[in-house]
Amino acid sequence: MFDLIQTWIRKLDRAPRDVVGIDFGSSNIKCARLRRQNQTLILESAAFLPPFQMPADPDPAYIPPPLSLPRSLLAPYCALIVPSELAVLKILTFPGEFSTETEGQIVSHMGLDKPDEYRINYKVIQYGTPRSESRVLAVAYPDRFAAVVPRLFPSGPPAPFSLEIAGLASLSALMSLPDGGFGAGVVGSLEIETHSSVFAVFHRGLLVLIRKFNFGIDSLVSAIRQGLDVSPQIAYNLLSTGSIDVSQWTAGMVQPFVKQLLVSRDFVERRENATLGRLFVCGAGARIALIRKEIQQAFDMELREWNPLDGLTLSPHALSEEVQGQEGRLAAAVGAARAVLEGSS
Amino acid sequence: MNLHLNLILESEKRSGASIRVWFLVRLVLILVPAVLLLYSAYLAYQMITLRKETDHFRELIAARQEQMTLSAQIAKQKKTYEDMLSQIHDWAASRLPVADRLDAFRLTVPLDIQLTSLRLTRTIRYTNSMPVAIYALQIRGKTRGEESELTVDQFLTRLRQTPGLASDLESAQVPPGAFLQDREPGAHPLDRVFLLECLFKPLGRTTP
Repeated sequence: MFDLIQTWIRKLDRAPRDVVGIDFGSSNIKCARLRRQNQTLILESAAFLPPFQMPADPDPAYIPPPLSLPRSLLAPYCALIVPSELAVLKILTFPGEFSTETEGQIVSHMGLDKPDEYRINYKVIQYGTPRSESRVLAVAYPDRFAAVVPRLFPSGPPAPFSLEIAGLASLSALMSLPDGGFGAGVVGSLEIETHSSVFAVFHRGLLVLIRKFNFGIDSLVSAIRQGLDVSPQIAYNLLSTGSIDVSQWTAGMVQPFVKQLLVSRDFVERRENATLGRLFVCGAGARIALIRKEIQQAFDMELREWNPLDGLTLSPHALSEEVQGQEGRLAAAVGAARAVLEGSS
Repeated sequence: MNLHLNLILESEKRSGASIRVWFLVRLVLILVPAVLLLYSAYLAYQMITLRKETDHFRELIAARQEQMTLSAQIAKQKKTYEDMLSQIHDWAASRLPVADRLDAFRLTVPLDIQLTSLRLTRTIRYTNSMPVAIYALQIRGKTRGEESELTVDQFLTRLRQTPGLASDLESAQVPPGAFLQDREPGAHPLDRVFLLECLFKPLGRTTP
């Protein structure tokens, strides 16, 4: 009886109109509060907060202390974003039309040792015909880690509404840009986070490849920190500004990653019979000259940084001083909030 | 188109409304039966109390039945006496002291007049359901002489002015055609007969 009433009440609930995207990154919690007014999306506020330390091996019953947000970020709902590091991202292809039988094969195709310990979701990105294949974007995330994040908001605003992977949320933001420019060509997106990176390729606006690499800026930072015996913050600053030559400590660390990127690119170009035309980059690693230089040389093209706030109306004082110039780091927060406000179409 | 893949469980979602509908529903589901229960209990208590009081009064009535019967009889008797008293008051208020009036009247009759009849009538009228007595005095008389009409006028004037009589009189007059020559056999040509009508003021109570 109560379940029936609860279901009925949920149906009455209006779609969210005010959402704060909260990206639990390793270096910071990145927040962007978006409000929908008619057809316009307004950025009400954006801020970086101190990072949340996820336990290394959280107990299923672990309840973290509630996270308090600044008043300007208190929207009724929140879209939560977890780092891609622990996620499994795959594009699965199935021959023929997508059916219930196909749906049943998704979990087994994910290649997970213990699927019961993961939260799995998927989206059909291309419905096949009897003579073509269906493509499914599938994601899996360890349940014990995913369960911790909504518990940071046990009561009051914001109420958890969605939970997604940072790499996919950033791609949603990129796809939402008014001049995404995907067009008919092949476009790449590379997000370099602290512990991992996500490389995605679109052809004619359709996602044709997504790969997650266990390469992030933390490996470079720790190498410099050990080599120079400095704090992580100083090591990161040295890395991002390029004020001194740190190549003796980072030599050979970026090339394997770039090689894997090239392999992925070549695979797509052969399969799609087209050439990668543009490469958009974002994330903490996208601003590090050392990494940019290696990738640019390998891909032989200019890397394009993009602003996830393009196409949004900004409220006065929406961006604090620390956020200004760092808008690219809000990609996942903006992408997740936009996805909730626009519906998962 | 976006790549939104939601991994949150339904059990982890909450309503973002400042007042949650589910909370209101639960509140109503608890509050309404609780209020009804309390009201029912209140009504039951009232019913029991009223029943006890009713029984108590029934016992009291049964125990005092004799006194109540006696009281009713006494009240009835009292009403009878009050009615009687009221009638006596009515009678007293509507009574004309005839002896005193006749005594006063006697002094007003001129020596040239012979009264042949004196008739006092009493009529009862009701004003505001109260009896009011109206007294009328009809006087017949005889006189002789050239100035007999003047004598009757003198008689009338005395009636209207005599203390103890004038104050009670409302009117005194010789009706038109009531002063005549005496036609009786053997009557003198100067003999005259007359009729004089006196109306007294109404006597009695006009308010209960």
